[in-house]
Amino acid sequence: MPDNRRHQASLIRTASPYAFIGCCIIALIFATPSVVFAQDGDTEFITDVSGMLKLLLKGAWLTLALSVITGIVALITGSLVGIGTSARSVVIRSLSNLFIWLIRGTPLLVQLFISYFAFATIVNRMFDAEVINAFGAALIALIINTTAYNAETIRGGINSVEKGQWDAAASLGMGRNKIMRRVILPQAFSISLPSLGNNLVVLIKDTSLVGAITLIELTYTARNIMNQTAKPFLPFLLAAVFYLIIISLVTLGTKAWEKHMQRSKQAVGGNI
Amino acid sequence: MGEAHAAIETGCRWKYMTDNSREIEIEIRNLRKNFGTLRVLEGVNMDIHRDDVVCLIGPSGSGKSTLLRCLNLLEFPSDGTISWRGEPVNYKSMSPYELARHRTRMGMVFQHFHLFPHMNVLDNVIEGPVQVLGTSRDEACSLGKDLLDRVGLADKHDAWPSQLSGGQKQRVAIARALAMNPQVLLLDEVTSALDVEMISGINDLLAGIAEGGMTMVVVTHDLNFARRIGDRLCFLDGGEIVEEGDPAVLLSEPESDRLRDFLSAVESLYK
Repeated sequence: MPDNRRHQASLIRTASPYAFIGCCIIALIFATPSVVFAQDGDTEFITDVSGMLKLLLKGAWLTLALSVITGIVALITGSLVGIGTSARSVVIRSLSNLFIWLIRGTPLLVQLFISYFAFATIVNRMFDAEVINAFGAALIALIINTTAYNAETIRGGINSVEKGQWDAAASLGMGRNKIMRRVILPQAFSISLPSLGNNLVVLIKDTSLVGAITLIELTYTARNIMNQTAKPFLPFLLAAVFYLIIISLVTLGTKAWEKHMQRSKQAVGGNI
Repeated sequence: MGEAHAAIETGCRWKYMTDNSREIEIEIRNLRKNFGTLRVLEGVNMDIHRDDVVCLIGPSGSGKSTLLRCLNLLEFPSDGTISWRGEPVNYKSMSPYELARHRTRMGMVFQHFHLFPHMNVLDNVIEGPVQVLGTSRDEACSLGKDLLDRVGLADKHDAWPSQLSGGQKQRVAIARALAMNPQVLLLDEVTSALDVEMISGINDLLAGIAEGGMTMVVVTHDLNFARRIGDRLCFLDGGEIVEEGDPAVLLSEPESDRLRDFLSAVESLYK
């Protein structure tokens, strides 16, 4: 039995670097022509794969920027709102739950439209300057949306920590905040991490919606290329590969983090 | 059994007979606890003297664990008074600081250990002193190592809880409770979740702690352990103390029908 487990563990350990190297090779193959055959000016008519790749790479950077900024900010805000759902104060608890209910109950596309066409327009008119551009509006909507999902994940994590942990910490004389910070949250976060990684993957794919508010990200770029070249197959296939590369890299990162967080569960046989 | 056992019994009886002169650590008067409409404790009266080991026995659902949890206010009583060394514990309007101070007086060990799984063994033990008492980390570490040596886990300081057997986990939990230097130790069926071969080791450890002079309130199903370690035995049934007294007397000559039924049920299980 222990041998079996060790074998499994070694498989996981060896599989990850191979997947990583494979993704890097694919990325290299696709990125090289765009660098080698790069030409000036985006406006020129696209005729070949390298031209497409160059444009798509630009779109991919926007997708990546939106995903990374949103991913990091929403992890923090989502944790705060998630903790808020189990706060002692009724007001904070209700507000947190209301926020999660509102955001999870409405489509991201509608949130993007509200953020860009309504909120950003009003703010810009108020200051008589472009305070929030399309990128800013997209960030606001994506952060708010992902915060709600992360908060729900963290809330579930907090609830799934064994009740006895509260008892044990309280019997040592720890106060509510200290129990939360020292005992419950570290375990809740460890439990939540796989789902948080999943939220991140969903977010990366959801950024394809920001094309609807004039941001030329990966999917929108692919559609532009199709419109110009009348070739529907290649640009979308390449865009899909770009998404796959980004998501594979992110998944590897979250898996490594999960493994780090799981280090205390390295049971040597027997009950856990 | 035999002479040695009889000597222990008479020793205990002597201790019990004279404990009226000793200081009362915890005094419980008319303690009631309801969970909604379910009445779990219906007016419990009890004195716990310093350095006494009080064992609580009774059928499941009789309120033993609830009584224990009311003592360190993991559950707040619905009614009644708890006094600590003559001072009533004002559990109805208590500041978080007072609540924490009350709880630090009493160490608690649970049936299912409840070790912190994200901390290693030594960190589990020093968590209380460092976070609650404000002990420096170095000082707490040396205290924690001493305690782990004492409970027989000298080589497990860096292990994770998931790497330990049930008996070892319970030893860590005992060390964690002792690290707070409690005045009273509350034990809630600490051997009930253990494999049979682990139980006697834990029982020996607890008997050693009791001999060293520690007030203990012990909820147990293990009547032999109660006879061995207990200075006083309380039989709870239906949320009230039906019978109490010297363990050896109580277990061999029960007065009430309810205790007689309970003992015969338990004994038929072990035969």
